[in-house]
Amino acid sequence: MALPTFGRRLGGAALLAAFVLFITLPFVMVLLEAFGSEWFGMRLLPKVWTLKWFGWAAATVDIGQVLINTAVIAVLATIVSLLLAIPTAWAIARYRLPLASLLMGAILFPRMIPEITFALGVARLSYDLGLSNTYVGIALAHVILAAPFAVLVLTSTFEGMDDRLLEAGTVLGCNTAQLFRRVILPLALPGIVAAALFSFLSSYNDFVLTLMVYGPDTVTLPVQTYLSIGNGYLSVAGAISVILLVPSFLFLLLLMRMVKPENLLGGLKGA
Amino acid sequence: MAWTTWRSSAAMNGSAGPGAAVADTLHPASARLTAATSRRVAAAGLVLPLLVFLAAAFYLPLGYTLIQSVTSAQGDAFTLAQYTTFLASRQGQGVLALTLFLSFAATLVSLLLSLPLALALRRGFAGKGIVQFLMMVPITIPSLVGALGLLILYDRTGWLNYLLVRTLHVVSQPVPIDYTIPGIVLFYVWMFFPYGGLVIMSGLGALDPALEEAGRVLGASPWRTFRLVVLPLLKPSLWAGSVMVFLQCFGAFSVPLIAGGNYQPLAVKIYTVATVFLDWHQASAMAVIMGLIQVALVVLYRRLDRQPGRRTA
Repeated sequence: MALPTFGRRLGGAALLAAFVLFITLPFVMVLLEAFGSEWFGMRLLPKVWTLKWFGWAAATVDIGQVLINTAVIAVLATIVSLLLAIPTAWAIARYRLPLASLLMGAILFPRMIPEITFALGVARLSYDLGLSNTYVGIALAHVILAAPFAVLVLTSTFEGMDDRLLEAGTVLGCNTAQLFRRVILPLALPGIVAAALFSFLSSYNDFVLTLMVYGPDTVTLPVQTYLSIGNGYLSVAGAISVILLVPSFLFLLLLMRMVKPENLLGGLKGA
Repeated sequence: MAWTTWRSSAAMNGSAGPGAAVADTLHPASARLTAATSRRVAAAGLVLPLLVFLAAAFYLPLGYTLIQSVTSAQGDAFTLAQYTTFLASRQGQGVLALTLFLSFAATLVSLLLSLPLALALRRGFAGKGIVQFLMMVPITIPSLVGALGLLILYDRTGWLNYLLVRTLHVVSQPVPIDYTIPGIVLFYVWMFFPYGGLVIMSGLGALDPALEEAGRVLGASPWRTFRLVVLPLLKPSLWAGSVMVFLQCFGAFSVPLIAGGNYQPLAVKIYTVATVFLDWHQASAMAVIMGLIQVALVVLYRRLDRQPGRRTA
């Protein structure tokens, strides 16, 4: 009985090790590409370690401006997405709306179909409205994907609120504003923060919709990564990728503490 | 008139029970009517901004795409030619076949990877936290970055070929992986298997261990228990997880865009037809076809995900 257990453990450990390498090695490659130079031919490691690709990224593609564009658009998209999603989620969770499931379906439909299927129409609309190549235009395009997911997260937050606490607040003499500030907000804050993080990340990482509406003044990090790969500057693309990855990993660490992994499916990004 | 409105709203709210009768004696009907109506107006007002936004920013563009797809390239005449030419042409069928083949192959490989992994992690294994974290990585990071790393890793001069040629000496020439069909399938698996893996892991976690114990007590071998007890109960999760992976592969854009080489599945083809060939009518028809297939798959997923066979806890 001892031997099979040992064998099974060994097999499990081997499977785990292979899995860890399978997932992590592509990131090791991006790091080597970004921090190494003269990595030609079949070499295990680059000959020279350097930060010059980050300098190149700053000099050739103005990565500082690209970072600002990406951050401003993501903040705008997060704000608009929360402003639209919070009241909607409150109504769905706290009132018995007629046709609630149909309503939820209509709200979640943008997340259900591939981005490219509506990106063509979005590109046309934002061009007609003069919103192409503007922060607002790109942020609004991102809200199409961010707001529905925020509604999903917030609805479950608001549904989970204990009615008795709200009643207690009323009985103890809170007016509506006090009730909101002292009772509802503290209860809902984790959900609102999660929704904000999701919205920010889905905008920050968005590629497909951005590709259809960006212009020379509104290049974002994912678009610049794509352009650099297309130009064959893999090391510059690697350097940009490293910057692009930072928020994703920070959020991942945060989110793992807040939400169960299987509840995040369909949440973070599209294609 | 007012009374009928009240009655229908009360019926909709499902509040016409014994409690409602008591409430009737306490409050005049007119007061209840205004309270109910104002609540519904308030609720509608809360939902309206998002609905208006989605109507303008999503449904309008979607409708525009739909109209574009059935309009002739020259004028405003209605035509289904965009659909028939795409579906009848060898190229169009090739694109559909490629897209479906890549998705099927990647889904199958993902399933073969996820099931052993989920089973190995079942009994409070030390690596469970690490694996769950790592499974979230491909879902969270931008696909482009993943694709870039994969391209470098599996390049002719990359680490895998270094291992095969220099270390293990199993081949004398580097094996081409990037820009080949098996390579694209491999990239899809890396990127999308967690979508199924997480579903399967949670399905397995929800199974009642007592059923397996019963199998063992009744004298079944571990393999027999797995085949006759675990597998049938896990079937809905396996299906749901597989459809989830398939959906992701089917809609994949970034990975095939930079790592597909000459192979352009539907999403990439739509983009090329629209932005390189500037044929928006054809691209719109392809987008509608893609959307319809996706909706059918989502409906399938919903039905599978709702099936019983799990412990409700």
